[in-house]
Amino acid sequence: MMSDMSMTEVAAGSAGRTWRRMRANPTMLIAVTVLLAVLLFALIGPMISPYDPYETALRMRLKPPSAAHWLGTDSQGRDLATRLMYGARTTLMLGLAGVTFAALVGGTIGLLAAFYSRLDNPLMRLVDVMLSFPSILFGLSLAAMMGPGLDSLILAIGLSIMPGIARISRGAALSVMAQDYIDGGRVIGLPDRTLMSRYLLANAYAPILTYTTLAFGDAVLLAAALGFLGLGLQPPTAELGSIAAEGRSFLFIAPHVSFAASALIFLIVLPVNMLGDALRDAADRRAS
Amino acid sequence: MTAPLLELRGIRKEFNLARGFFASKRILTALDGIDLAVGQGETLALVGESGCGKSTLGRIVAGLLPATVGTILFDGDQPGRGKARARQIQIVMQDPFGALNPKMSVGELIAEPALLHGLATRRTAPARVAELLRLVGLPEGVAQRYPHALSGGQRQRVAIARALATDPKLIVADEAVSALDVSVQAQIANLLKEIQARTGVSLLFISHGLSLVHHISDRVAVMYLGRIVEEGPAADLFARPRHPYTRALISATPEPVPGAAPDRLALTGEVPSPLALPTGCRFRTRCPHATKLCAEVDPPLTGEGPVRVACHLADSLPTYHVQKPRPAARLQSAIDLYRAAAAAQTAA
Amino acid sequence: MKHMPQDTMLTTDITRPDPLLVAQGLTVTFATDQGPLRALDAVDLTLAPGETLAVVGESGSGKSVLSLALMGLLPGTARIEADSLTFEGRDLTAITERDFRALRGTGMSMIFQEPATALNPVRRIGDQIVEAIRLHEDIPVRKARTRAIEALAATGIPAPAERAEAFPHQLSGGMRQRALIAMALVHRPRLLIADEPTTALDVTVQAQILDLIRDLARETGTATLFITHDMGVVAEMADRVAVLYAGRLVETAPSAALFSSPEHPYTVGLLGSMPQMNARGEPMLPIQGTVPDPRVMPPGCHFHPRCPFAAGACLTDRPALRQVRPGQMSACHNAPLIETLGGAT
Repeated sequence: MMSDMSMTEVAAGSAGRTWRRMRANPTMLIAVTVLLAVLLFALIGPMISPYDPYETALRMRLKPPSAAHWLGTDSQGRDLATRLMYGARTTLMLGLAGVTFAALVGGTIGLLAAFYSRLDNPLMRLVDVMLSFPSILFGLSLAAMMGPGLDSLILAIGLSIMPGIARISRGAALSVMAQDYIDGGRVIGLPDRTLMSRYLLANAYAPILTYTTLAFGDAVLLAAALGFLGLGLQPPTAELGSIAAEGRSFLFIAPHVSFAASALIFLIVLPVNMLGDALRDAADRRAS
Repeated sequence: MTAPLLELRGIRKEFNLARGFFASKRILTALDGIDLAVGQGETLALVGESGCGKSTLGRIVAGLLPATVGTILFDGDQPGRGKARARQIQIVMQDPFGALNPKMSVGELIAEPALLHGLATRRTAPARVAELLRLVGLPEGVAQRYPHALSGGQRQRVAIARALATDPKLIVADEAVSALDVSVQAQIANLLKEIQARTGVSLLFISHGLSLVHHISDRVAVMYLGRIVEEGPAADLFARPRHPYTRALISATPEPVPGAAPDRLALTGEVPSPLALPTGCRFRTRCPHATKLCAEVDPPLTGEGPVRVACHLADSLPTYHVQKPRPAARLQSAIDLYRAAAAAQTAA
Repeated sequence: MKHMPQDTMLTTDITRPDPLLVAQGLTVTFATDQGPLRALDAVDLTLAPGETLAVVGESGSGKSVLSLALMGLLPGTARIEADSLTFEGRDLTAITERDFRALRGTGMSMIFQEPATALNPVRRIGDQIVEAIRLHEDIPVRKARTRAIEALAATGIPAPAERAEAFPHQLSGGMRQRALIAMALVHRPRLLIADEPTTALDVTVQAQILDLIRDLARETGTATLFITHDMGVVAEMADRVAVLYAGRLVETAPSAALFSSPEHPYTVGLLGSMPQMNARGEPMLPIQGTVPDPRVMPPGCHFHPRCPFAAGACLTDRPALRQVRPGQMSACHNAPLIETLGGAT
């Protein structure tokens, strides 16, 4: 299809430009490197690690780092590095699923509110109400209400970061709606769905995507926080938040457990935020 | 005149400026009692200063805004909606930088309406695009380019090609040349007239520039604060304007002849807010001739001849003959030389 | 100002020993991602005290760059070169930023197309004028306030004392432009640069503002550099006209001479493309093509790709600005046009 081809062309053009900007920006380079390393750790790690993440070995409890166990072992004598690999994979997956859900729902709400001014008030008041809860609290109560489980966890994470995405999407969509070409599409008789996809979304997606990147950091943090508070996936599933929580009981004997898990969370969230900021700066510069 | 293509009767448009649930209503009346007709193949110009409602009227005609009150007839019938209206009426907007979807190539932009209305198939679309590009004087290669790579004039040509793609009977040109460079304005104005001559399309030409309107329109409607104050054939209206506002507009337009300016009919003050309209005649606060009657009675748009005017004093004011200064002889011959050389170049 | 200065640098030097503003070979280059971009190319200008010079050009002609260069307001990416650039005999290329700041406001001053962007939106009009006064003059606030209201009154703003209390957004475009003019002229500068000051205004308001600028300039003896794209406005305002195209000066002439006998094809085209110069119902005379991309300027004469007379040397040699008749200069190989081309066709 003609329009699909052109979309990728445009995307390729701006990707090339973004890459050139990124190279000129050392923070961006560091963020990308760290993030790639964590991703490799979480995705390739489980395939090459010789240890099983679930098999307990009580004789090996809380061993400090050694040649056999690079990061030591946890309270059940499992290899901590392997636990972290699986844990990071789970947490990243949760964050990704949550943010995807939030982007789909929030993006749709934002676009609809901007496109149909009748819906603007009701939709945005709803979003305001959701936005007025701190997202951790919101996620907590949802997770508590719906009980543990993968679906409810993703829903809790998604719904708590959705309002922000909805607001940003509405803002981006409103500025596109103010452009003459929306009326230009209307006047040739385009149906609303074409206007919303080919005209509205195609021109509003960039800031939404940038914000979603930033929100991914929040989603990961929220997933870990829920896990830490015992509202995440139930043990023995490896998850960074619950690993950090487990280690808390032995903080004075074996600080490495909590420390390593927390450090890994940090290594995910920080570069994601740096990346989001840099993307936003790049977008701002292009706009000016 | 045969049956008009487009007829507007008693069009009124109100905007509610109140925001939020609890705000009380603040009604802005942008248009009030507009009666107007556009004939087949005719160019009707709407002129007036900012806030007179000319663009609002254009958007109502194009179906982008609903009228609060009033009847629109197209070919003697109610105009269609959505896709049906798109086959009848198209609009070319002012801002050549904002009027084209930046994510679509010129070819896609022009093919889109043709495909949507079944006037071309995927297979015939490229040929149709090429034909329309030729019609608006753009090379075929432009089809692969994106709007940001084009100049303002080229974009406006693309917008015109896109408008022509549905074979409309009427094109609303809403300040379609105002944002362009002077030297390009003439190109686009010529193009619109050329297309009209070829296809018989009617033009509703909305502009604040009087000299261009004088040049290209058959009839002119002068608007002030949501009303038509004078309407008639361009030749009559520009030679002997009757409404004091039309006179002031014509005399305020700078002429390209040094020393021609001084004795102009200067208007004092500025257009009043449409939220606080004056009683009686809306123009009376700036009118040098206003009487007590003008403050009390709103003059209707009337007239026996071809020109209709909304002024109590239209018959009693002395006739105002517009004398356009002639360009100097040497300038005229330089322009003639230029025109001949340009024509020879185009022919070659 | 009925006295017409004798235009060219040489003759001006003889008849008027002290022109207000002299620019010779003024060139402005911007550093951009895609390499240097020459916005102004060796422009020569002189302006006598009290004179109104209109600079005409379309988008990309460099007319706004010219005004900013003269005001010392170009961004850091711009490089200014000139054989000579003086204001009242002072070298503007060698002046310190501090001295330039002192000069702006008192010696030269500027008004813009969109007065809303030149005024501080969160401060009252009167306060802004008071501040402008006290920036250069050490007088008490109360005195400055009286002066500010007088200045507003002089621009024909009704109820100036009340308008002084208004914020910019509470005034109409025409009123804002009047306020900006009041502020610009409060120190009676010798030079007022007006950059498209009426383009955003309605035609009846434009007429008022043009009258105001003309009257005030005459009253205070201020010279005006009037930048516009509208030949009608030029005819109304200018003593002398300079036509810019693609960064180069293509013609300069006293206003009367320019409108009676233009000697550059671009000027002819600009005048010919005005609706007033075309018979009703006939196609208008357009200038073919568009303004060239400043990064890929055509060789020879910058106008040659659009010029119906272009031939031979036009395609290869840059035409120098030369005198066609006293006071009138044209940068065209074919000038004087009618004498050179009239017989050929």
